[in-house]
Formats: sequence, structure tokens, C-alpha cells
Amino acid sequence: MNETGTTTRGGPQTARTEERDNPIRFACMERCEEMRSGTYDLPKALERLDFVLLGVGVVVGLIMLIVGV
Amino acid sequence: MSTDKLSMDEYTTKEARLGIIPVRMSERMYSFLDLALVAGSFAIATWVYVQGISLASVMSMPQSLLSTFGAFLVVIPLVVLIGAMANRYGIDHWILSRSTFGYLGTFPIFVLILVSTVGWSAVVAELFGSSVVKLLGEAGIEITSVWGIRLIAVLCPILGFIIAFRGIGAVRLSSRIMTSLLVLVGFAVLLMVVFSGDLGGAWNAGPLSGVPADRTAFMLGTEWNIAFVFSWVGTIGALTRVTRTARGSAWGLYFGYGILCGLFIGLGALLAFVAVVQGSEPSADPTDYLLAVGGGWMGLMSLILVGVANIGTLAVGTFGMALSSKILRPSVRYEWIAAVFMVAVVALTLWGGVLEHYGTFLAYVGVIAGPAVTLMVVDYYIVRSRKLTPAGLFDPKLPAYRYTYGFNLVSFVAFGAGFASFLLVYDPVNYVPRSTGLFNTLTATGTACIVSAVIYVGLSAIPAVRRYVLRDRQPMPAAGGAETALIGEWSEQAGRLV
Repeated sequence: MNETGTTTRGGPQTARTEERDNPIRFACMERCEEMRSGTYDLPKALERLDFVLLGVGVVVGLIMLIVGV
Repeated sequence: MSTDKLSMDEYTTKEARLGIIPVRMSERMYSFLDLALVAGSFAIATWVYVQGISLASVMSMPQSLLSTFGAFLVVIPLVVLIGAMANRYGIDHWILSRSTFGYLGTFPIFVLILVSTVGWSAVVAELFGSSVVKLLGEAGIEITSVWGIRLIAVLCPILGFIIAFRGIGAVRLSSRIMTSLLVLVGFAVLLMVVFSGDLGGAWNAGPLSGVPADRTAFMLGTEWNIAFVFSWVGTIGALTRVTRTARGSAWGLYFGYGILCGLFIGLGALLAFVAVVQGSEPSADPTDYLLAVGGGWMGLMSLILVGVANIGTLAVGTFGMALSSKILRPSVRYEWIAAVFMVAVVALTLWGGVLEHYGTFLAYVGVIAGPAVTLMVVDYYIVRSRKLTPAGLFDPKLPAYRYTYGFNLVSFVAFGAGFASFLLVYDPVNYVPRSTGLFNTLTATGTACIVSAVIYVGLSAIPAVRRYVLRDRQPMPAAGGAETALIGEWSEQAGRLV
């Protein structure tokens, strides 16, 4: 949990109340705030090569369907 | 205080893995291989043989293979891209879909998909029941009562639930064992078919229905294949959000849902052709063909493992849908939702009508899941250029994804257009095309996907509509401000859901 009790909205008192009343929502918002601030460890996104390979697969698939007809 | 803090951290970690809280990298458990095996475990069950046999009834063997791999290669990237979205944020794709359909608009789409997944699960259970009864028959124990068969069938969702109940680790462990065994069985069935059957005769045989395959018949089978791939939309995000890398997530799904499943459908078609060429009567039940071609212990061994595969499918299905269903009420424990899912599948299995209407059921899946998946992909990758405001996904008081009373009207117009175009092209009740030209070119689900995507992207290009769709790019007012008051009491209610 956030040691300083600060969140994006409402201040320390609101944060503590929300953590107690709705811990799931509190945790969701806290992690979203991490994403916004850049401290959330996001995995590396798919690279161009992955998209190219998926695209090649689509083209091969279309050729197979055309041949099958 | 420290104990409280620790227990809260543990609670949060549990809710991240079995709930809606975004999953951090340190909490992710699946590698590429894990995901491939779990996805494979879900995809491979008796239904792949049923799908193969359905294809064999309307087209030749080479056409069955081309239709299966062609459709899979074209459609599976959409599934992979949705998995990549969930992997990126560690958030289930149904939560992410709030950006596409709106905070409340996601609910009806999700419920429709949930219903279809319960239906699929009932199909799996019914096939499990018929396989076990055939096995018992081979052992000299005859069960002819319909209710006896249905009671055996419900063992499948119950056993699947027991695995899913243990959580994400148990699902991974069971999938490792079952998928590995299934690959071995598939290889054994392939050897059995190659060495005991007339491959040349099977290759040159016409469709098993006896009706020559024309273009419409080929596209009908392709339509079934496309709907088959889309049917997995319910459980994608639950699996990829706990996968450690984007690449592992993408190619794990591609291999498990795509390549492995396609191979088994092809094997099902091959099995049907070889069995019929050898003299078996055409049947809709793969058990008949396995016993006819394999005979003796080989057929029985295959049947046992295929039966077990159905339990693995329902374990992953129950896990994925229970986890995704937490979008409806996040505070309810995962275990309870899994139990409700299991009870629903048991009830539908005892009714026993889904398999009877398999073609109509596939059409239902295609018409709902096709446009839904396409809109999610188009919205995130094209309209939003892969940028979201995650806080807006969880807080209905923020305007980011509230749109019009919780519904993104643009996506619903596009979805409705896709839905209507499907019905204009294909009659899902009588399994006949209404517009032969379009059906024979794009299939009904393909038409629905393209229409939805074009309308959504086209409308989003209009400046006023673009501002409406991309409200998450505008500064968000503080909670309780004028924007929140627009929804008022309803917003408060939805807020408690999160």
C-alpha cells in the first residue's frame, strides 16, 4: 500500500477510507496510478517483427482459402 | 499494522491473480510454453474431432485441411492481438473492452459471450458423456438411458471445476500433463491412420454427405472454422495477463489455440475419411471412427485420453470465465463464481439440446463474437493507437469511458451493423446463405467483422465523433465534479461494483 497515504484523488483520509471499504477498487486505482507515473513494470510491447509474421500468416491463410475454393 | 499491511498485500496479490486487479510483472506466472499448453488444453477436446467430421461431411479431405488452416491463420491474429492488450497492462480484456463499448456497454456483450461459453462447455460435456458410454459399452457395460448418459456427462464440468477451483497453478499443472498426453495421442492416431488406412482413397474421396462440394459448401465449412476460433474470445485475457512477456503471450496463443487446434481438427477430418473409406458408416460421433480405425486397445486408449481432454478444456474454461465474470461483481470470490459457472454448465448438459443445434449455435457465436473481437482490436490498435487511460477502466466516475450513460454509441452502431449484415448474408437457423455472392466471398462472420470495422473506423474519422470516442485524451475532472453528476446515482451504484 501507499505508505504516505496519498493517491491521485481525494487526499490521505479518502485513500484510507477507500482502502478499508473497497480494497479491490483501491488496489486497481493504485496500480493505474503506477502505470500513469511510469513505476508499473509493463512488459515490452510486441515488436514489428511479430506483426510482420502475423501478417505473413494471414496472407498464407488467404492463399490457402483461395486454393481451397 | 505490519500484519495488516502484509495481509492486505497478500489479499491484493490473490485478487490480482484471481480477480480484476492489474497483474504486476512479479505476480505473473506463465511462460510461452505454459500458455501454449494451457491454450492447447482448452482448445483440444472431443470438439476438435467433431469439427473435423463436420468439415468432412461437406468437403473433400484436401479442402478440409485448406479451410481449417486458412481460416485459422487469417483469424487467429485477432485473438492474439487481444491477448497482447491484456498482457500489456495485466488487465483482463473484458475490463479493457470498456474503452470500446463503454463502462456499462461491456456488460451485455460479455453476458452474450458468457452464455455462448456455457453452451460450448455443455457441448464438451455431452461429448464426454457419449465417449465414456461407448467405452463402457466396449467393456460390456451397456448404458442406454438418456438420463444415465447425461449424468455421466455432468461429471466433466464437475471435475473441471475441481481443477479450476485450485486456481491458476493447478490449471497450469493439469494443462502440462493433459496437453502433453494429447499431443502423444494425436501422434498415435496419426500413425494409426497412416499405417492402417487407405490414405490415397481418403485423399480422393468426396464429402462424406455424398453431396459434391461446391463453393458454397467450402465457405460453409470455413464459416464454421472462423466461428470456432472466435468462440475462445471469452478466456483470452485471463490467460495472457499472467504471462510474463508479450512475445510469449502472442506466440503461446498462436501455437496453442491456432496451430495445435488446427492440427487436431485436420486429424479429425482425416480420421473420418479414412474410417469411411475402410467401410465405416458416416457418423457424427468421433468415438465411432476412433474405435473403427484404431480397434482394440489403441482405440480405447485414444478414447480415454480424449475424454480426459474434455475435463482439461472445462478446467481452463471454468477458470477463464470465472475470472472474467468478476467484471460483473469484483467483490465476489472467484471460487463462488466458478461454482456458479459449473452449475450452469451442468444444467445445460442435463437439458441436452446444445449439440442438437450445433450449426445454429456456431452461428450465434460468430454473429456475437466476430464483431465484438474485431471492434476491440480496431478500437485499441487503430483508433486509439495503443493508448488507454487505465484509471478510466476502473472508475465510472471518471469520464474517460463513460460515453453516453455508460455506452459507446459509436461501437454499438458498428456492432449492430455487423450483426445485421451477418443476418442479411446467412440464415443461421436453416444453415443456408441468403446472399450467396457475399457468403461465398467473405463468409457471414467475415462480412460482419469487416462491416463493423469499416463503420467504426469510418465514424471515428469524423472530428466530432472522434472527440466523443477519444474522451480519454481530454483532461479528467476530479471525482464529484460536474462530469460525474451527469450520471449521478447510477454512477454511485456502478462505483461500488469496482
